[in-house]
Amino acid sequence: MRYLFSLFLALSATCAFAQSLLIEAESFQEKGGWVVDPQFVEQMGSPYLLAHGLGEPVENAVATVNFKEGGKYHVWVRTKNWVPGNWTPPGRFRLKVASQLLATEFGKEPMWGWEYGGEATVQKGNNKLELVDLTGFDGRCDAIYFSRQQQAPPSELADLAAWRLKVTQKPAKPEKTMKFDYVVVGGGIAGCASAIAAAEQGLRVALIHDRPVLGGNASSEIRVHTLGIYGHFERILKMLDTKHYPNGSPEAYAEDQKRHRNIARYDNIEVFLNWRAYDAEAVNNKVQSVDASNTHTGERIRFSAPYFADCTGDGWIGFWAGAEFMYGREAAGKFKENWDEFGELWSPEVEDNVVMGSSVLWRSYSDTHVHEFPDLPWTKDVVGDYAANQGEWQWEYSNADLHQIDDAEAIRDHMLRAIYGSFANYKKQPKTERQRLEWVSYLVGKRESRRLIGDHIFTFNDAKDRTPFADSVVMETREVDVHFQENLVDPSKPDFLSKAMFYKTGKYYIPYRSLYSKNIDNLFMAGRCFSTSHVGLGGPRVMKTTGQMGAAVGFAASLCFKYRIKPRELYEKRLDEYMNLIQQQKIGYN
Amino acid sequence: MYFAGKGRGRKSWRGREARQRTLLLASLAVLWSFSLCARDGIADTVRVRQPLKFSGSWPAHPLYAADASVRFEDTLGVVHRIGRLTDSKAVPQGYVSHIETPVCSDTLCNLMDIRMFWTLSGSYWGFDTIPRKPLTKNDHLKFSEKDYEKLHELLMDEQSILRRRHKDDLFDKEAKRVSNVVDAVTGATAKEVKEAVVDGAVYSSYTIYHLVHSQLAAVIREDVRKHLLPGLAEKLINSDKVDERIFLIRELEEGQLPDYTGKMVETIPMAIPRDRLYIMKKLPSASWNRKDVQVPVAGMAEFLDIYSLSHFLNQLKAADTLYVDCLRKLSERLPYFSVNQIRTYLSLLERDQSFLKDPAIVKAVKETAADPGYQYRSYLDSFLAKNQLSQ
Repeated sequence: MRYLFSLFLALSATCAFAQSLLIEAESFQEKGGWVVDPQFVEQMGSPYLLAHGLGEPVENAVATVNFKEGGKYHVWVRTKNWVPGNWTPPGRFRLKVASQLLATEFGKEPMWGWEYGGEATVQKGNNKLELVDLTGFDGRCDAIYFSRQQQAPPSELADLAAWRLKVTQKPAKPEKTMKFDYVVVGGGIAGCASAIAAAEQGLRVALIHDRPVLGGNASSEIRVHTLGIYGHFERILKMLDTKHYPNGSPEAYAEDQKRHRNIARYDNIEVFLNWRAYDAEAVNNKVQSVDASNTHTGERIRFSAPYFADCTGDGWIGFWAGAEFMYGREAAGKFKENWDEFGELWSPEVEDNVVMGSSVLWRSYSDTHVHEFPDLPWTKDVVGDYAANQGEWQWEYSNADLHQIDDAEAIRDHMLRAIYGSFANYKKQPKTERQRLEWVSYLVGKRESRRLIGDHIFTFNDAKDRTPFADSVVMETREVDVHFQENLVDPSKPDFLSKAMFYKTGKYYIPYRSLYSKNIDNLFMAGRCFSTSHVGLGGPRVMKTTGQMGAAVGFAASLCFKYRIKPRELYEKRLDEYMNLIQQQKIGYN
Repeated sequence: MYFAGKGRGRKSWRGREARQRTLLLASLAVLWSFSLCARDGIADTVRVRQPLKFSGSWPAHPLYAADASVRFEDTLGVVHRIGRLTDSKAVPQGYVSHIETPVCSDTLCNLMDIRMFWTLSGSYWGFDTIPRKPLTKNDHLKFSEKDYEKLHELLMDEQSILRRRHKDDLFDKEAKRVSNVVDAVTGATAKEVKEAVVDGAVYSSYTIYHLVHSQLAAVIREDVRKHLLPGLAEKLINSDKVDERIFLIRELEEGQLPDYTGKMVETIPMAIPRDRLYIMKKLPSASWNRKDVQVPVAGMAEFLDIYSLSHFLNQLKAADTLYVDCLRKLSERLPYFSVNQIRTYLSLLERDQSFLKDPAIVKAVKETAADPGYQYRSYLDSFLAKNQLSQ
């Protein structure tokens, strides 16, 4: 997978090819209204800038670029038409080079690739570049390439990655290494809880997160409220959770601030915001290091530690390190998880790749004055006549053809079409003139993707039978709640809406053995990538429960560090001490 | 006065008697016409009239209900008797039950009196009211025609919100919470429930829904499994009710599948996406090598949902033998494939040079690639170039 990882050129860096220059869009000094989107690096090669203006063109992104030689250059922009079809592409933008607005509109070719922008004249020294959005409908720019020669950079992903390495003259490994006692990758509720728990026990912790704010699905960027119970970890989780406001509520901003304030209280947690992990090196089934790059500057750091926690949601650290994992729905017979009430929707006779989908939440509001919203032909085949003015958890997309990781950009883009199209239809209704889009997330709020395999695989039966474990460190009372797409049972329904199935149960438990990798000796996991079956995930996938997992793992890491033992050995040799530490959390709080 | 009176009285009595007789006969006739059933000379069965509401079709020939083929005690302790519905030759056609059950809310506990019908797969078929016992709401108002239609719609919705909610969760407990930033949280759950049920009859709707779809349906399916299969297998697999076909397919064991492959394929386009995928997954792996499976399924591609179409393409990928007729039919759908489906389809074409020489296939690929609005053009262009088909 290494070839997929993009490297970045600092703006002032000299290019290997004297007469050419590569500028990564995400490294523009002023982003204007453009936002950095690093969600799909593994699929398309790099973070990129997105003009997410909800239909209103965003402010220009601006960079100052130093050219060693003045004169005419050929210009290419790496971009894509995100909704190809027989209509005007929605995500168009232009490029201004040294006050000269290039005639070419970019964002018109299907698939990620280099679009030629003609020639531009620059002067020796500093020149101003500007990305000029034309639509507000999610135009995207990955990079800009200037060259004296009319030779486009490669488009194939592997070739492009190699070319980027070559032109930026960067070594394969990060230039900088940092050592910690415990490295937590993923700053969602699970990751934050894990960092706090370990830090309270004295470990020096790195918390690596690819967004500017902590909280993951609970952050103001995605805005899902936290559900579940606190279990043993009320004190820690109350530093991180949210109120039970409606999903999508701007109240999430206040919770972001609370979360950041609380994490900042721990001197021994070093938070790396806007750092995205892109590789993990494992030797003899032990993770040695995790490499991460800054999503804005391209700077890279190698993080080494004796213990790592994969709180990425997608199980990336485990995946790169070679951990065993599962994806999709297991056959009902595999873990005996069938429930006649819902049959195939709950657990299929034959395994498949269907999983619960990702949500993109959104809101609109009634303003004091009229707002126009255009008719959008490029949404019609997704929404038909469906009309809406907000989207809650039911706005969820998944099908057997889509992989929640590999096809994540397609999933997000489909949801954007669903949202814009539904709102355009809504605006055609009477008395909607003042309604205006307020907020549409551009991040996919995932429910399910890779699940790393631990010594115990938590299943529906563990919840249903309320199995008591000697190592029960997480508890939950929430129903087992598995989703399916509405159009599976009613083809007339839009494909972006889901329904939930609930199995009510009493309090159930998750054992510690579901929170470390079966075959990677120093890897913990917490969050939706913990060791569970598809149906088993239905209950504990909510964020207070995943937060419990994180805290449990953080405390486990502290004892493993203390005794220099593997996570499995903690269960085998030091379980009493570990469970006492877990129990003390609740006692101490009460 | 007396006699006269007596005489008039007698005459009057006779007249009254005649009128009463007439009234009685008329009443009986009315009752007869409104009654559920009529004796029709078949031992232990009664003839059943067409119900007030039913889904799909109702047989033109008469149906007869056997009394209490199955008994079932529900969670409230009410014993339900379910009778098989048969035709005049005693061939089972469905099930019927006269349901009298308490419907309780916080303050009321009414009785609901209704006659329910199921297909042989235990799916909801229809319902009928009992003469002089119309359904009522919580406030004792009689159901209107609109209410009966709503109830029918609800019962036809196999995946109604009611199925997924516990009785205690019909109303959002947090409905009155107020937010500083947004309006009061009015509770999407309550709204969803309200939209699904008969207005003013939440608990009646809930109770009857769960009896029909969960408890009694399961009992019916068990009766069919235990007492009617395998004798009914041919009837079920040839049924015009897709639920009955699916039920039979679910019951098939591995060794029986080859005999039913053709019928399973025939059922695919009749089914909803969930069941299409189920049927396709149940088809034996070896069957995907058969021309009489590949070609008909490819011919259905236009009507297949993304789940079943992707599954089909993946089965073709795993198959040892591919038929050009199948790939040719699929080529007609090329502009509508997803990117992953395109990748799979192109990989199928590359398995055999003869596929790449098929004029219809090549034409379809080229024409699709030539559409400037086609989103996966680059894949097709690369494919054509790689296989030297660009010219």
